[in-house]
Amino acid sequence: MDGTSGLRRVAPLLFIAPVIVLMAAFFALPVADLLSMSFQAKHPEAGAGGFSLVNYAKILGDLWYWQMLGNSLALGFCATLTSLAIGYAVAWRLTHCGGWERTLIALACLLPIFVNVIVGILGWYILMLPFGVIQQALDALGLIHGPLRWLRSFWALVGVLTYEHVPFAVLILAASLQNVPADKIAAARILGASGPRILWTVLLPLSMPGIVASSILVFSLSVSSYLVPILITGPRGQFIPISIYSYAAELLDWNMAGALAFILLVVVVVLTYLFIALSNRLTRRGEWSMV
Amino acid sequence: MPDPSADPELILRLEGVSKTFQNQRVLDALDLEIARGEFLTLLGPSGCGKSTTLNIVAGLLSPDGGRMTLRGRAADRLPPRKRRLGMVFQSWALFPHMTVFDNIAYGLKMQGSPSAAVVKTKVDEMLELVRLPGAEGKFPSQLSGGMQQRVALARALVTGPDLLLLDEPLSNLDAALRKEMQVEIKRIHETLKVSTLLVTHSQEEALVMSDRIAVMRGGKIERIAPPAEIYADPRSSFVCTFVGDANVMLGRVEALDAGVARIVLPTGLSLSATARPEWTIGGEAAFAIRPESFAVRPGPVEAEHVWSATVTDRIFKGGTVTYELAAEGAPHLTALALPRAGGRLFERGESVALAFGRQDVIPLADGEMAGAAVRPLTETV
Repeated sequence: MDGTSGLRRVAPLLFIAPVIVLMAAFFALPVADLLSMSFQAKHPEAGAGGFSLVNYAKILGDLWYWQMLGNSLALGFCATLTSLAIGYAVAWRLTHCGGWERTLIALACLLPIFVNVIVGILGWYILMLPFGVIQQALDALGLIHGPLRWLRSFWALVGVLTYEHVPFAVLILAASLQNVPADKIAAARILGASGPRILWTVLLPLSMPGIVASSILVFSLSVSSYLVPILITGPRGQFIPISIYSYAAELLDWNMAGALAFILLVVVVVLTYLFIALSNRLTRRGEWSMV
Repeated sequence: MPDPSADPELILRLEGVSKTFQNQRVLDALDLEIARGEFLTLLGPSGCGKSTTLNIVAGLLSPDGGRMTLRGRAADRLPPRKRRLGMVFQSWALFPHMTVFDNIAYGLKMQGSPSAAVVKTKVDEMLELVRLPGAEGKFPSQLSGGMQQRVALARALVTGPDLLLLDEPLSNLDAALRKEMQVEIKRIHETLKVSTLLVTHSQEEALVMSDRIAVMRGGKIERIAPPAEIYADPRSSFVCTFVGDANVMLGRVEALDAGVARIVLPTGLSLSATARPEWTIGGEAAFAIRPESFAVRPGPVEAEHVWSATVTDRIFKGGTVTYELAAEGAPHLTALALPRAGGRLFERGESVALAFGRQDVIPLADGEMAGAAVRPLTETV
């Protein structure tokens, strides 16, 4: 047959081949391995074949793990909400200012990404200690009396995760808000819409792709974050990633770790899918395009 | 004593409005009034301040100085949503994620909470008015440019605004649609009698649609008058060349008698014209002759003024023919002729006579545009 047309069909594949190879070697294969391990008992009874649901039965039958999953999802949910709320406001400002202000915001967004995660977390640690800077200042102002135990709390975790992820949210949302034409907002203003209603009826629907993308990113990063919970709440924190780590590294039970990881993966994928479907339905995406 | 600006028949009044962007004065103490039901056009080249004026009226920009009243009430500090305006943007600015129905109903919902039945009735009325029945379920991206334009008009009109603002609404349409929409907008204006402020750089749009035209230049209104009057008596050479085409020339006043001036061109051609009050014997005099005011004849003719000229170029456009001509001392003249079907056209290099009368000479206050090449009459934008 025609040689050039064959080459033309293969050429695009050549461009994505490195990604495919990388994904296969470092993502698909390990996940498949993990999956197969999770369906094997750590100490298979003699005579029983490889396949076993014992790990899943142990997890799903124990309220402890359900609570842990709930904690992790609640953490992801809260961190996503705060990151998006702050990120949206900052991104809006970023797309509507100029000069030094723009540079300042862009720099403030990039610095946390450049700073080592652990250094950043330890900074927060020092700020929030019972005798740390914030509590001392509040105490001096007479707003609180005596030290408060913030450090190991759920909300401290939400705060640090928000700090970690706001920059990503800002960058994605700014790109999305940049695509909302100013005259559509002006049109809404002239037609009688107040600020909050413009946000709700024009700005949010038109920037929905950015909201969805940044939500997915922040949510999955927060739910699967290990470093932040282990440093803020310590190894006793009841979150799935901490449990996975302790099964894999301390108890050397890779089968349980695999089952937990796989459950987390499935839950995140399903929630993400539902979120995308919901946002598409609400904004009737696919039926219209930008004019 | 009643304040004249409190007259409710005066829909809009701007007094001494000015605006400066980065040390550049865009509006210079602008005064403007729009009466109830009037269609007023701000016409001018880009950068003349017409869009800035519109945005100040809309409340999207705040002026540095001056006063503004809407329906006789101070509006300087009113937010856009409280000004009771309708606006059609250059890009139409339709909400792409809303159906045609929701786009049109948007203003009704934002300015109150009428029942669904009332909204439906009003939206249907608007769709009827802009001749788009049956399109309510479509999204803007499923409509042609002309239809999107109609939706934008309907959306701006549905709330019954005191003043309709049109910001170069036709510049995104092709020439045929533009002509169609000019007539449409004029028809809708005559149906609803809504006061309208149009911003455009197209003399054709301004002439076709307006009750009055304000020609702007450098942040000021240079001349404001009804279309026919502005065309017949533009006063300044800028207005003369911006509204319509004109041969602008400079001469010297040789004699003045009972309001009639005898003007001599540098090379000896002469003509008489209605004198402007500031003209003095021996002083400079600027004037213009419209291309269609010249009668192009093959040989000697009887007329008040006859100049002999040579055809340098000919542009045939079917119904009309434009001749580029050179007369002694006036090397760039343009004349517009209406040839009879099958009639003879003058050839390049042919000698002709240009005949015109005193009433065809438009006296001007300045000769700034003198000698500037007349714009080709194909201009459509």
